[in-house]
Amino acid sequence: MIGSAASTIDTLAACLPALGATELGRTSENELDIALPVTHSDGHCPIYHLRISITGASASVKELALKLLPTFCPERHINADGSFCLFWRAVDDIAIDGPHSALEWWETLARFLQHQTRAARLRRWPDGQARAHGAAAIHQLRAERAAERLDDRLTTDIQYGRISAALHGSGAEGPAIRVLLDGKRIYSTWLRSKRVVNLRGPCICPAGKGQRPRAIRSCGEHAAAAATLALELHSMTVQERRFWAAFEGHLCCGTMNDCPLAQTSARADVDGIRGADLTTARCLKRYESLV
Amino acid sequence: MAKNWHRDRAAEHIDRKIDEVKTVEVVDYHRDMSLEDIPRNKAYRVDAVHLYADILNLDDMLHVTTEEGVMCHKRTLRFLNLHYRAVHRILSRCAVRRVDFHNQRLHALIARPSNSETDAETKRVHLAVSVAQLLIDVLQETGDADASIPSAKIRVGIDTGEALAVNNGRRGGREPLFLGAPANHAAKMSGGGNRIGIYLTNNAREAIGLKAVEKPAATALTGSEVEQCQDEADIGVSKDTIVKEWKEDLEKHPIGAFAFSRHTPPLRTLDITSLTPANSKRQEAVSVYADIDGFTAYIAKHIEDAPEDVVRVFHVIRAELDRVLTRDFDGRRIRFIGDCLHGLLCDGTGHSTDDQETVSTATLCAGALRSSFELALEKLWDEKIDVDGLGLAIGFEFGPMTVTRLGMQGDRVRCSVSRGVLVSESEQSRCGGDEAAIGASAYDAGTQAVRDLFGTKRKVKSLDYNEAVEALSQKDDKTAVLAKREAFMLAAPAIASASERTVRPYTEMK
Repeated sequence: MIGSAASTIDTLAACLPALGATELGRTSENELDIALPVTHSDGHCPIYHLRISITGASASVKELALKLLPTFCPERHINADGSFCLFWRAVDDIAIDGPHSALEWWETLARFLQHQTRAARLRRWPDGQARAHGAAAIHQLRAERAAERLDDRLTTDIQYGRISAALHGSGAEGPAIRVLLDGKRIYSTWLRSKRVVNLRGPCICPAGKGQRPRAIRSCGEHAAAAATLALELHSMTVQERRFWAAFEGHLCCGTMNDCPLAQTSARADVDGIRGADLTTARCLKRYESLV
Repeated sequence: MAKNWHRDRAAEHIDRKIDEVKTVEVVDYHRDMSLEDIPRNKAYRVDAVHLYADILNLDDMLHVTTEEGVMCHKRTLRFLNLHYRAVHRILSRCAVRRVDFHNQRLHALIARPSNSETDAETKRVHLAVSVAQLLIDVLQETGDADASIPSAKIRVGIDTGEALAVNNGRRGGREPLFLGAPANHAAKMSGGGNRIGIYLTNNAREAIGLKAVEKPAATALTGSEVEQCQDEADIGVSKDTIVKEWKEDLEKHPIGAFAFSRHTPPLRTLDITSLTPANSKRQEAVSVYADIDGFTAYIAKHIEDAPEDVVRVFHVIRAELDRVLTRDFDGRRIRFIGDCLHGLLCDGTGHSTDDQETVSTATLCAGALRSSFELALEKLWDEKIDVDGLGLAIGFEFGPMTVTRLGMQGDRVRCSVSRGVLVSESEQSRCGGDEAAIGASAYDAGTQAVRDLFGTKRKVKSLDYNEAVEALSQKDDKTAVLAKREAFMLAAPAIASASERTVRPYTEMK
């Protein structure tokens, strides 16, 4: 039975008491409907009505009719089919093969929903830990690994969106990728030859600071790591652009700031958003009644 | 136990407050009525002149020494005490009502003569200008050269019109508080610059036959205009008489030396009514200002068609903000200044303040104030009370704070003044209705998590309690971690465990 949809559902259902959740029913042998109260730090406890669909040892989840969340929002990690993208299967997959992994899956879902409340309020994903969209995620992962080799702070800066990459110039070596921290250049890398532009410049790790900064070319493998970081950040930017281009024209929920969809599509009806997004929706309604 | 905010606790209190003001009566004020002890669900519509007088050189007093030490505070409080006494004497001789003396800012009301007399408003403005000039003249002579206390430089703002008088909610609830444009505009005139003089709004200027000007806050009354008012009002008391009486009074009842001690936290248990100059409090703490943004415009919008709703909104929000500060976070409310709450917070022991914990608690408190404010708006909205355009601006600062009572015996006014108090007020002023700002000293004293939350601009948007706890605990702020742990104590075990988890959501190309 292990690995079958029925056993996975039973394993998941066995965790419901620990979550304070209620089983609403099973529409088929691979679908489980539940009501999940999600407590927050302030005592607020919205109840989500969810459908869990099982394929082998994997589960996906979406909201039932009583919606507290937008039906689609890449910035809030809700796929076009309404399913929540809790993690990147290629790297963070949770195979539900026992009580421990089942609980891990539920906890991931609960934390995802706690973050949804914060996202609705902040109008951005809250903790800087989200993966990049679509194919950009692999480049983000490689960029993070390159940053880890350089300086822990760079990893945090990438997570909080403070690091970006931009193409610049077109000389004999072709264009260079400028790596920017809060919009300010920290170093550049040739796109074609895949090496740091000024190898005699100070390293971007802590050894490159202070009174006798070490040059990047003589700072262990940091020249290669810095070049990888720049190239992966550039590829990530390209893939992000492709991702958003693919969704051009899709309905924007209007709950997130700086969402590329907002510039290319109409906004979803605010009546479709309830509960966690109620305040935002109410503000929008009030605004619309005034104009 | 960690200080925290809970939605259910707030909801229950807000519901109770809404019930208290289900029926509200707003009546026109006439001279037989008392402005003392106004019932909570009643308001008087008062047509009067509002006078605000700002002591401009208080900030100089607080900066006479590099360090903000005991001597600096003693001199500042003595400076204020001398002037409070002089002001008390002037107001009682001229039958003018003191509404409040908030550190360097006096708010007084001139409600007589009442509108049953002819040209009553003109007479009231004449009287207000005469009193203002007397304040300026007297306070130029009430310094103390022996104790290096300078005279006060005064800037007065005056407006006239209708405002709502409500119960100010302080212990005993005796004193009224005025809501509306004239009180606010007079305050803006007095706080609108650094030049001494008397500044009238165009409304007040026109009431005494002067022409409206383009920039009333930059156009002081001329000497001849003031003289004309003095002739018309004929208040019958001179500067010399007041100064003489003030000196005699000082001889008979000398101001005792200021002596400070610490109050063992929580500050909530501090009994301000027992404080005197000789028994004043001083310790490192956070001063917090929370101001209802857009409330003056809200009053102007509703004073005619729904003044009852103004009273409801005011009482419910203010009572809830007070509860959050004092009950949830063990702080001490110093006073309500109109629609603004001023309070102090301190964590630590009787011997020392825990700087980091105090700043973290203040950050959580700022989030909680907003959470309660928004919940109150939601509940008022559910009662079909319009709450459009209202926001909450929050500012706080850390540093040595004082709490005492100043003025004449039997009529002492609570006072909490320090550099931090003034900075917290200005931090609040630079916030919009959905923002909270932290002063530079609090920023430096706080944890890295607090600094990251507020950023280099020292200002954060949409910070509610949940966000404050989550953002700080994510970066291992001990106070927030503890608050979060307690918040999930009664939650389902898997949800509590989930709240500690890091998730990395993704979005597929499908």
